[in-house]
Amino acid sequence: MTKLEEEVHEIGVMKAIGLQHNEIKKIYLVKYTMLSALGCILGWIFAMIYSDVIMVDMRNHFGTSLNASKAPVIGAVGSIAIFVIIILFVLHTLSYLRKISVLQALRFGTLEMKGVTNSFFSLYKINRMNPNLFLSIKDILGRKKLYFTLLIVFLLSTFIMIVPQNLSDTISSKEFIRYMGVGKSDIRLDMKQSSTMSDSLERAELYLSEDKEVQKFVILTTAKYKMINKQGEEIPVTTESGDHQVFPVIYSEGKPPVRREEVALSELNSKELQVGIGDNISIIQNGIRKDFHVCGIYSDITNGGKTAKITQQSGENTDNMGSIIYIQTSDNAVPETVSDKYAKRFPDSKVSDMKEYMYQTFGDTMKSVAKASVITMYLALGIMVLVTVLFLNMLIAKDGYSISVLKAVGFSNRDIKIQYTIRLCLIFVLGSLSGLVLANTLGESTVGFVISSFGAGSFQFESDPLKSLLFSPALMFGAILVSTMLGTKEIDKKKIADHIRE
Amino acid sequence: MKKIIVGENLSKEYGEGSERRKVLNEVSIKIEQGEFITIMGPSGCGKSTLLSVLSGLERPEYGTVSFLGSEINKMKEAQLSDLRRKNMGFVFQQPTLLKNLNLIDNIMLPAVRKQQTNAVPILEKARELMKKTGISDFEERYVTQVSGGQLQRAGICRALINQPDILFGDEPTGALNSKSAEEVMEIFSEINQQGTTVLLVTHDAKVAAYADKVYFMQDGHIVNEIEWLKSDQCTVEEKKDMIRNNMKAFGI
Ligand SMILES: Nc1ncnc2c1ncn2[C@@H]1O[C@H](COP(=O)(O)OP(=O)(O)OP(=O)(O)O)[C@@H](O)[C@H]1O
Ligand SMILES: [Mg+2]
Repeated sequence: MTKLEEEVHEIGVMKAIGLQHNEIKKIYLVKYTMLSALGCILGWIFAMIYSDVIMVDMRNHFGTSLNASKAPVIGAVGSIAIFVIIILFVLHTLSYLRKISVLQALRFGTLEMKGVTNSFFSLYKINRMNPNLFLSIKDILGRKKLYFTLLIVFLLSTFIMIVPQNLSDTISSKEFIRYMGVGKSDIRLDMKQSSTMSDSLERAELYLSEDKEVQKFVILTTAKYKMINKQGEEIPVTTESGDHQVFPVIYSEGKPPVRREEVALSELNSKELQVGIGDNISIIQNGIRKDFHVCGIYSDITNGGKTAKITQQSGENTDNMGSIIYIQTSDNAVPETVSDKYAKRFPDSKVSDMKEYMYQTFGDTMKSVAKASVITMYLALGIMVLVTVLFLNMLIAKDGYSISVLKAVGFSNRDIKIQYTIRLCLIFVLGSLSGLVLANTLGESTVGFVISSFGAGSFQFESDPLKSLLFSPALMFGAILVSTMLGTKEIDKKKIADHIRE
Repeated sequence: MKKIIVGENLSKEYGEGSERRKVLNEVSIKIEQGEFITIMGPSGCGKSTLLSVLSGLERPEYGTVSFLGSEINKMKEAQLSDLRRKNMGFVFQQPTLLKNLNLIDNIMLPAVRKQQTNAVPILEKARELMKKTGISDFEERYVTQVSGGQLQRAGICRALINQPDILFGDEPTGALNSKSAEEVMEIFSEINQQGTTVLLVTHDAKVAAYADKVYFMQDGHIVNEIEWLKSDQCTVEEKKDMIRNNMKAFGI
């Protein structure tokens, strides 16, 4: 659009030589339609290549799959929407054509004739102010629309940079395991059901409670019980029993089961069984039917996401599949060495470091999301640099006259460069701050919405504040500064006489 | 008298290849402090170019320009801007005010430089100049809200805000009607009497008659000059006649 304003002068000439409004309008409409169509198609192709990678991965690693065939359609709809918005915007701007008088266009070459009057912000009313800062702010206030476009670009770039980065940080954080229906701990000890298991368990329990390197631990027993849904059908559900308060998972509603007759269900499970908090549900344990009270709903995106948690198992354990001991090591112990120790001590169980466990089940997804976040980072930085340089070139071409005037009254090239830098930095700060806010609100809830289809409801970013609030904005800021330096080079070449001639 | 500007063997070329031609051809000119000088000549003879070169807006291909003894061709861009701001004032044919600032801000702009600058004396100075040029009522008006004559006066105020040693004008009355032109020339005359050197380019014999010295240019050369000494006590009409005769002689 900014381009269009630059062409106001040209339009003035066209009018002067007698072209009709509609003819001029047609010329520009065709031009901009073609440009934006090209842009949208390229964008769509790029999005396709890129989304495929992630989609395939998501499917591989969560039992559930998003309908991948829908992705190109969604992409196309998005592209078309952007295209329509651009065209509407062009039409809107073209409606100004009528208002451009030949004289105005030729004399000033710009649309912003009126609306420059913010008389409250005036040099003579402010006692002390750096003139470069003053002129920068004045210019932004006088051309709000122009700078607003830039602000939106910065906002979107920040958004597309921060959201994937936060997502990547979240799924590789220690906390993320809690969305997988597993509490946050350091070591996991799996014991398969066997005749000797209860012995080993007892031994382990004794040993663990005396180990100084262990801060706390919990034994959870896994069993496949049957639950009865509204239709009276029996559905097998993997159920963990034990104390679920030691390493709590993330509850989107309610709390962990505490009493004997309480049960917590995973989100997908509660959906399938059509029961919510406060409802009762019957569970068949070892052939005996018992009523339970639903006390909590939690996120679980593993095992197809259909699980349950209760406090105690029944006396016999014919349905049992095994036990898992979750261990948190003491502050001064190294989880890796402790895990090695237990691996030696309990050779019949599978001991794994939680990090390792996460990596095994989730590593590929983590890697591709990390890759995607790096790609979007470069993409966002690229867009920023490109737009900044183009914007500055356009602005400087457009401002030739004022630049000449400033030079004639004794502003140096450096002063003028400083002014453009101030303007861009102000817009960048505003844009990227709003982008950050948006990424952590809208971005979070959008990602949360997608993730909830895998079974994690109350999703929250677990981002590294140093990275997302300091490092990334600093990187963007650096990119802006570099591109401003590049973009303002043109100012050196501008001659006063080019624009001020009698 | 001290020389304020000395230009020696100034040459300036424009165009590429076979189109290339000399717009200034070995022009030498000395301007003394306190003088009121006009440059006349046919269109395209290089008057504006000479003014740009003398004021450091453009660099000559050959020759040197010195301002109060220091060579301006050798100055860095930042030094030149400093010089323009502190020592020179410019008035052009079209008023060159920034359209997003009101008149008084435009006028104050070259004077307000550092954060520490106290704007009050600058404001007072600007108001004084506006009063002198009769545009006191238009402080808060914007470029599009005042007449050409008023705009030109604002331009003059801006040129004078830093009390320059020399004021350059390229056809400053060219876009004005004869009444406004006369008022503007009176202002120039008054400034000159207060000690500021004035160098104007003009087509108008009436304007040129305000000067102490008139240079005539043709094809990039200075071909003639007339000088009136204060003791000559010529009337304005006599001056005008002399100028007109010279103009005829050189086919201007
Ligand atoms: N930037 C430029 N590039 C090429 N040629 C130029 C440039 N500036 C001026 N000229 C040419 O140099 C010659 C002198 O120009 P100049 O503006 O000095 O004339 P002038 O005496 O001021 O004329 P006028 O009275 O019409 O203002 C003209 O022939 C003009 O076409
Ligand atoms: Mg000229």
